[in-house]
Amino acid sequence: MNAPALSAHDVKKSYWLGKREIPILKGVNLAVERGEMVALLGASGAGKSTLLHLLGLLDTPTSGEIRFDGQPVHNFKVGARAKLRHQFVGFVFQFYHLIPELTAIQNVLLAAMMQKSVCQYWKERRTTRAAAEQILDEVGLSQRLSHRPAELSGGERQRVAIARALLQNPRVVLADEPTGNLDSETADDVMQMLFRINRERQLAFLLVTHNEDLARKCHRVVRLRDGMVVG
Amino acid sequence: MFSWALALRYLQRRWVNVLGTIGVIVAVWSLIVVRGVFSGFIEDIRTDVRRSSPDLLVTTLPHATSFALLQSALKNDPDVVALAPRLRHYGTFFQRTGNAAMQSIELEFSNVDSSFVQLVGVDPAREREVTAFDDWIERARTRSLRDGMDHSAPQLGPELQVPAADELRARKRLGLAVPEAATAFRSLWPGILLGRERTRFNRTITVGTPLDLLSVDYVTAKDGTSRAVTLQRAFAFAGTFQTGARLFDDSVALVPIEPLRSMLGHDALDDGSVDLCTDVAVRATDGLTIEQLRIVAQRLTTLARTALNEARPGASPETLTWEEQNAVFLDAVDTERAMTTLVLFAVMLIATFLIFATLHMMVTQKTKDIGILCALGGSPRGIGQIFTRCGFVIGALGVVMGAGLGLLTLHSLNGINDWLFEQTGFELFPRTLFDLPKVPYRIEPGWIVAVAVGSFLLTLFVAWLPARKAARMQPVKSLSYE
Repeated sequence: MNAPALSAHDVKKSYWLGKREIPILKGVNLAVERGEMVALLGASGAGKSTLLHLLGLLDTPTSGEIRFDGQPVHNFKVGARAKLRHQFVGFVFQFYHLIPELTAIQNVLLAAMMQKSVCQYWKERRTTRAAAEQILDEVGLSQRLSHRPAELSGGERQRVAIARALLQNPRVVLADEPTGNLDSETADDVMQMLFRINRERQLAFLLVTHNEDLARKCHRVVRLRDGMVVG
Repeated sequence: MFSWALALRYLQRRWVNVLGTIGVIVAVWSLIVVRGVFSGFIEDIRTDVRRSSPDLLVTTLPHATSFALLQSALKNDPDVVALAPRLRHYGTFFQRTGNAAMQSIELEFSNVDSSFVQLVGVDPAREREVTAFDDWIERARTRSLRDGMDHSAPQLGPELQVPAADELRARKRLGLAVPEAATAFRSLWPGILLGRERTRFNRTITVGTPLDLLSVDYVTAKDGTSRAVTLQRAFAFAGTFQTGARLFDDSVALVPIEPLRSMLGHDALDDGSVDLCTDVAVRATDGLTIEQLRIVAQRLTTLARTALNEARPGASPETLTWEEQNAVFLDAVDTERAMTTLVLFAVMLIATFLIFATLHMMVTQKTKDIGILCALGGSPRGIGQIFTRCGFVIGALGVVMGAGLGLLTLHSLNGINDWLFEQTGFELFPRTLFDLPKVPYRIEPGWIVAVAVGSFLLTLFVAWLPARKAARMQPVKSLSYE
């Protein structure tokens, strides 16, 4: 039997405020299978974003394990975690987080540059650019390649962010309220697109959201309350 | 790859970084140009000082030292080629304006407020063997002709006397006694040579003009008491000299040694007189290095002490190399160069501080970008490299352009100076002040490389500090940074 693409095992995370320990996650167990779209629901402060950061190796748990394809990865060194994050995970944030100095296609190509030397990138530049153009076309932005983020609408910016997350063919996409900053019509468009990508690419998605309707459309809903999975 | 791409993009989009580049350009440029000009001047100064000084000078001699005594001792050294006596004294000059002693005016010097001079009595024949004595006179002639104010020394007699016709003309002009048969006249006054700068703008003085020297000496009576006596002697202005060492030229008047000895009570014809000298100028074997000269100086000091102590126990003569004779001046010039360099390094520090401030500000402004890059898989090292590469580009551009401009400026220095003078009447380097036909400069490849490498490393260092901060940022905190 195949191991889940991404899993958390009894993951705890605390922060310290002076000498006072503030527990955020109190032993979370979670698994996301390949091609599965999981919604992570919870109130503000429930620990959704913290869990997402831990699963994406942006932070380390206080205790417990994070596994990619069944392999524990939470104890990897900083450089190895960065490499793994680059190969395995795609991030989509609520506020897009695009680099304002770069155009849409440059923002997408940035994902391909991260772990490559100048020479490596130079050799692959044509194929990489073609792939970036294709993905931007896939998200409906083939006419906006040379636009900077400031020249794009909110929906368009989020599409660029999604294209950036997909360029490296990740195993899992971690999306932190991807429609939280969009109007409902644009949000529907973006979600339709994410469902389509999930379907077509058989990518695992972990979707943090407040939206119950949206969550119900996912394959599975996981609820987080006071740092614990409740259902 | 991403660190290069982002570094270049950040630099392109932030014009404030141009200020840092300009700062490095200005600092490198000024360090190269100012140092180049300074070194040029110092090289010229050292050449002039060398020209004005004998290889070695035996000095700090006791009162009433005989040159013959020292000569017989010093000539035994294998590295001594020639010796010349020097007699130093002090006095003021007055220019004769009429036939009475009272009718004289204080000689008006162009570049000093006082007519006070250091008299250096020389034996012209011996002096020529030791120093570039004739060259000093020839240099002054060349410069005088260039200025159109000719105070050139004519063919001088053994005691620097001016030609009889010149003295006769001066006597007639001032109404002094002249023989009826002018053809039988021969010069009576010993000559005096003044530094060219001192007489440069004096139109009233011509070759042959009598100058009254007024001086003071202490004499000791037979009962042991000392008293000051006023001394006076007439000399004829015999022309000018120029060694090029301003300090020497402006303060010294060259006179024949015998009249000075006579004035100080040691006339050669008197019984018991001494062939007085205060210093002995020495020409050493050609080609000796300054270290070798120091060794010869030690030997000469020993020889001089031995010779003098036989007659006067307790004498402690010393022998100075040409560098040591001018140590105060040369050290002052070196110190000035060092101080100027220090000030220019401060300019470089300000430029690098500017780079540090702009890059540090950039790291703060780009905190969220750093979080994004972490999320995309950027390693801390790669993220830090964005900012070190910004520093690399700023430093490399600044150093290359600054060094290029510096070299170009040095090569075109005289052209720029001429052009500026023609256009505005302003000279960056007033040649009249330095009395140089062109602004000297010296390109020192070692210095240029040191400045370029040092500036570049300094820029990298100040870029490394904000880069380290960027590399150490926590991705989660960076992403939530507002």
